[in-house]
Amino acid sequence: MNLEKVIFGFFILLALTLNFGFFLGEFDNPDHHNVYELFAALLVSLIATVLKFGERTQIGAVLLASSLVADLQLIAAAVLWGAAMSLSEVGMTSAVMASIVSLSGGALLANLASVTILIVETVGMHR
Amino acid sequence: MEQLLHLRRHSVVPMVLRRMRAPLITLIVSYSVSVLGLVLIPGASADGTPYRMDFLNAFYVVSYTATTIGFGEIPHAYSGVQRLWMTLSLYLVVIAWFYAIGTIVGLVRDPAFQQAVTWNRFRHQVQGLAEPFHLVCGYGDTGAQLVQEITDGDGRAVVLERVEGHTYELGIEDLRSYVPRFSGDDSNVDNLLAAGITQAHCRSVLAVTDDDHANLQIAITAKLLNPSLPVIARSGNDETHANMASFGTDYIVSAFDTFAGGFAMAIESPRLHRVYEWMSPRPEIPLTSERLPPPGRWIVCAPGRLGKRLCQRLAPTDTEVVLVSAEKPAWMAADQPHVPGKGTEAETLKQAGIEGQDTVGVIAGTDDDADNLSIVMTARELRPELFITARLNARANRRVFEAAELDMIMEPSGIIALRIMRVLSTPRLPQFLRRLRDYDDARIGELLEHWQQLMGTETPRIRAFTVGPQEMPAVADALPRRPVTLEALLRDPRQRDETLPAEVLMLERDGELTLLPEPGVRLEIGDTVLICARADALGPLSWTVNNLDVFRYVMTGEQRPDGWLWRRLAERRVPEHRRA
Repeated sequence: MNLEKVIFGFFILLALTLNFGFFLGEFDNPDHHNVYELFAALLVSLIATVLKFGERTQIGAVLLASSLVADLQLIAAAVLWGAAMSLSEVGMTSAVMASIVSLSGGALLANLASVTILIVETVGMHR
Repeated sequence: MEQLLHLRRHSVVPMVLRRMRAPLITLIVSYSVSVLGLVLIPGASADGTPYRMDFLNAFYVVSYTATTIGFGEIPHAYSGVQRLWMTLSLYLVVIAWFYAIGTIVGLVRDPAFQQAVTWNRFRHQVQGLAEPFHLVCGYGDTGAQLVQEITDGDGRAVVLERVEGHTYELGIEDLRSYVPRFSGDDSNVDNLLAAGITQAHCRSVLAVTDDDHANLQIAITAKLLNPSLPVIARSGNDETHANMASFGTDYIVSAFDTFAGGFAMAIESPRLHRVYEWMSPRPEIPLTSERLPPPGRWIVCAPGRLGKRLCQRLAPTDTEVVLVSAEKPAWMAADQPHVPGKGTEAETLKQAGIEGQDTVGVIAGTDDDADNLSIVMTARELRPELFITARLNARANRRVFEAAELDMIMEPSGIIALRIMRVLSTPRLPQFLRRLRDYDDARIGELLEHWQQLMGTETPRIRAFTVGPQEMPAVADALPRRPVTLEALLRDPRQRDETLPAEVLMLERDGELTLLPEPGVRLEIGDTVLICARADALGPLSWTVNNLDVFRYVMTGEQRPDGWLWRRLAERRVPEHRRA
């Protein structure tokens, strides 16, 4: 067992699960989506991205790309949340919530792709 | 082969990213912890209403704290718990930043990283060269002289040098063009590829490191990767020489061979030696000493290869050689004169017969400059009138040797550089000089006197022109219509009745060489002429062969206006003129 691989897999999976947890619930209901969960999803996603830095293989490059996509989507969602709450008079409406959740849904897909690639690579190793 | 020649860049970005993993994660985690704490800790506004900071504000506060800007407590004054948390976060994130910056600085100072960056830059610079260049492997005394002369002649050079400190001088040296350089193993294939050994613009590879094995490896690599590329290599011993020749190294230079050959020539046919010196492609060195080594008895203080070469080369001439070295070398016959010792003491030189009247000169040829100077001083004290030659090993000692007022200085690095420059600048000149050896010495003397009267005693310029649209467009254009003789080429384009101070040395037609052709010989397309001209005559000469109008004037004396309008006007004027 390789500790590095465990940590790597842990963060990639955790990014997916947290993202999924945030996404789960009624689509536009602010009560069903926790701001701390979004924060945690973004944090773990960033860490997972850094862990993928410096890979020189083709698969490593695709993993990094999918991670960057997830980061981008989650950052957009977080910025939207902050903007709605404190920069404008809008406040948290169901329309804003719907946008945030749909952005995190995109990140979810990217994270799903990451995990799929990771599993494919692991299965291909036969060890 | 294609794949082999496709050279990958050293990957710098993955290197940086891999090293930055830990510091970046530390940064992300410390930011997150600080932000989360600020959001979770309850605060109160000025009027006592409880509130919680949102993520946006918390991130803003942590950001300006981390960069130690510190805008103060917003949106409201903090509670005690908030202040405690801010203090902790301040240290946490600042330390995380220091860690990240420290890692980057450490990476930039890492020799491996610097090597990768300079290698990439070097490769990029060489690929960007749009002009022909020469690849110089080894930047020692010889390499430095070669680079200086290549750039002086408006050529470009690329340098590979094993020792890092040596290429620093290149940056200080005042050269006419930028010389891309790289410090690294000069016989490494990747480095040679990066230095452009397979590039179309690469004109030659000069393997002039002081390590025979490295030169051999460079030569063989060049021959395998780019068989058509001319390779000029320096060799120190017979085995390497034979080895290099076996795989087709185009030109192999050995300083001792060259010096011994030149020395023997100076004794045997002094006038031919003068021609060699006069035509040397290094204009900055005028004819040095007027004195030439005389035939007679020579004392050679040179252990090793130089002594061997001198004994071999001088044997067929009218000289007797006494070798002074620590041990009698194995190649010497029992009856050949040998004196054990160094030559730095008067006793040894006396044993070698320095006081005998038939002794004419001393060669101080050890590999130690101090020893050589000591031999020179001792010999001069005993017999000041002797012809004294010394070997200069390190170019830095040149001034001391010049102060010693020697009759001849033998500088291996200079000899090699001179030899290589002759091959590079005028590849046909060695052919000419070799042919000239067939003439007898008196005839060569007459020729030399004639040339020096015509072109002066300063070093002339020697150029080879091939008749064709490339090098002689005007001649190639006129040839189908009218015959062009060699004599016409040398007319002065400013005043056609006069002749330029120049001489055609050799004509090459269909691989056949004619030495000193008659002035009436007619040129044909594809001929190559080797022309020797006074430095200021080369300009007018290339004017004649390149410019159609100038050439027309030289051939016919006619000065016709050019340009569409002037030609039109001239056409109209001629009939009127005839009518009148």
